[in-house]
Amino acid sequence: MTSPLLNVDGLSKHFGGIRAVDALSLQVMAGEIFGLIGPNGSGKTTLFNLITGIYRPTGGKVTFKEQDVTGWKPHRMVAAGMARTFQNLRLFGQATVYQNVLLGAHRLAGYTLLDALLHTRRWAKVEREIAAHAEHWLEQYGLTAVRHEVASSLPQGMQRKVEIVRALSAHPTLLCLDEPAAGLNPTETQELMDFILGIRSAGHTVFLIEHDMKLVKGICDRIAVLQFGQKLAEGDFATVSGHPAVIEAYLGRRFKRAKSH
Amino acid sequence: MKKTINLSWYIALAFALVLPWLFPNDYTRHLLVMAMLAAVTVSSLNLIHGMTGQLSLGHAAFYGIGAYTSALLVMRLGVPFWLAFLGAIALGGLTGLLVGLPVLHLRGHFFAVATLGFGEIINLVLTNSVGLTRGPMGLPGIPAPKAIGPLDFTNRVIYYYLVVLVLAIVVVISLRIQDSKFGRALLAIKADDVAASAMGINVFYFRVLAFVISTGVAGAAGSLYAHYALFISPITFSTTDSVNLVVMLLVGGTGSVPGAVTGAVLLTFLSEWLRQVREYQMVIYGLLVLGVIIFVPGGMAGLAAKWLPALERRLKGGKRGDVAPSQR
Repeated sequence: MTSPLLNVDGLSKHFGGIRAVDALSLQVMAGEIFGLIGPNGSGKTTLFNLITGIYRPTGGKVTFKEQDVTGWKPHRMVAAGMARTFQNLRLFGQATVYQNVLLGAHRLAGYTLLDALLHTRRWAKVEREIAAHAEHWLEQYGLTAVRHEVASSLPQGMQRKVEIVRALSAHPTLLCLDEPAAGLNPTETQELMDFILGIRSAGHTVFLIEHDMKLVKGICDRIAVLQFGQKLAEGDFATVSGHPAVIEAYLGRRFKRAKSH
Repeated sequence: MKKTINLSWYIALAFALVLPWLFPNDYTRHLLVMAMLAAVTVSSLNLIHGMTGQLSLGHAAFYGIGAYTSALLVMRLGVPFWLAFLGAIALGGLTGLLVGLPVLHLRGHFFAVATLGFGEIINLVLTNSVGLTRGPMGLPGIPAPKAIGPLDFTNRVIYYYLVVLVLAIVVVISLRIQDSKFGRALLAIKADDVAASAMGINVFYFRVLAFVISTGVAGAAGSLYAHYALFISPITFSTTDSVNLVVMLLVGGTGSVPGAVTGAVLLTFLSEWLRQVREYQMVIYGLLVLGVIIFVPGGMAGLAAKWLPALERRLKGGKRGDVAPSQR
């Protein structure tokens, strides 16, 4: 068996007495769409923040591309090939769509301050390249028409898409999406599902948090369920949705008893 | 790719070059030099406050460090002015680095408080190390830069051109930073540092870098001031002066390179002009500044951004359709 792209091993994050993530282990394999579900406050976003370097773990280990990345800062994680979006959109609202996507490509701009100050040939070449790169992404994902719009002026669904394209423009191996369908209507969610499938076909591994079961059922290869910072179950949608602990977490004890009778 | 330095900058430069000939009296020419010096310092403040959003409330201290470094190097060690000028930049940048390193990884207002404290400390050091700086008596007899051929720097107009040259370099540096991944990263950090870090931007590194460049430029301005005024004392580098730099930037338009220059020049002349009303000078000055901040929140740059597109439209014959939606 090949080693996983992302290996989370016994990861913990405690805020004072609260164990937001508690000795959690899971693996994301290259090329899959991995879904993370769980009730509100179960530690999903905290896990994302640990993996992408926004929080430092209290304990445990994160391995990405067979490299120990535990406690790395966010910018190093991006350099290592991991990009993310946020639950509450974090676009640069005053900037245009194009500028947002250009910022996503920041790590690809390999020139020094001196290059920028002297306008060297390397500066001009790299700036041209990343501009073309940004335009390419905008075109590929149908955002060319709104490229000069201020990001915050777009409808919610479009902003989500811009945020994902911005993350993609960093060329990530692993794309982490935190509730991409939040605030989207059913049509927009359907579009988003096709969009995510397209991203996977383009060679990216996708790790997503989602509450929308239609989306999770529709596109995730494997799913992990979180509750109180611990993993309740893991597997494909059928396995997970039939798991007694999951039914209890989502629907309560009485339902579980009723169903088993 | 759009040009970083467009026609309006060349026009501004040409205007700056003819200015001393439009006002052939010593007093106005002196004010012009002071205005350009302020423009360099406010531009340096813009590099940290305008571009990263971090407020430096001790910027006059870095200006002071530059002034004293340069003056003392020339007077005590006999270093030529041009080397001392570079020394002032280096020491300004180095102190910026030392102040920035422990503070710039913190979020919120820690930086403003730390720089405020640093400014006070520097002022106390300048006032009390009498052996080195002569303390509150000030440092007289600073020599002007030695003449280079026909360029006699005791001549106001020649010195004015020297300051304009340095300002032009600082403007070009600012614009080129703004137009590169560095400027984009800094703006992203200003808008949302968490999102910026998720773009692969090393937030701490970029903040420190911006601050070191900023304080280096402030040091350069200080050196130019010392060898122009020929006398420096700690009073010129107090917290009041730091705040005044922030006000100049606010009036000009925080984050705008032309705004920083405009604010500095405008307020230098305004506060001089208000001397006519004697004791009411600071009252009226304060009210005017307050008025600008309340009614023109983007400063002069904000005003220009609002009116220039409309003017351009009118000049081009009122074609409304060709304006990008983002300019509405």
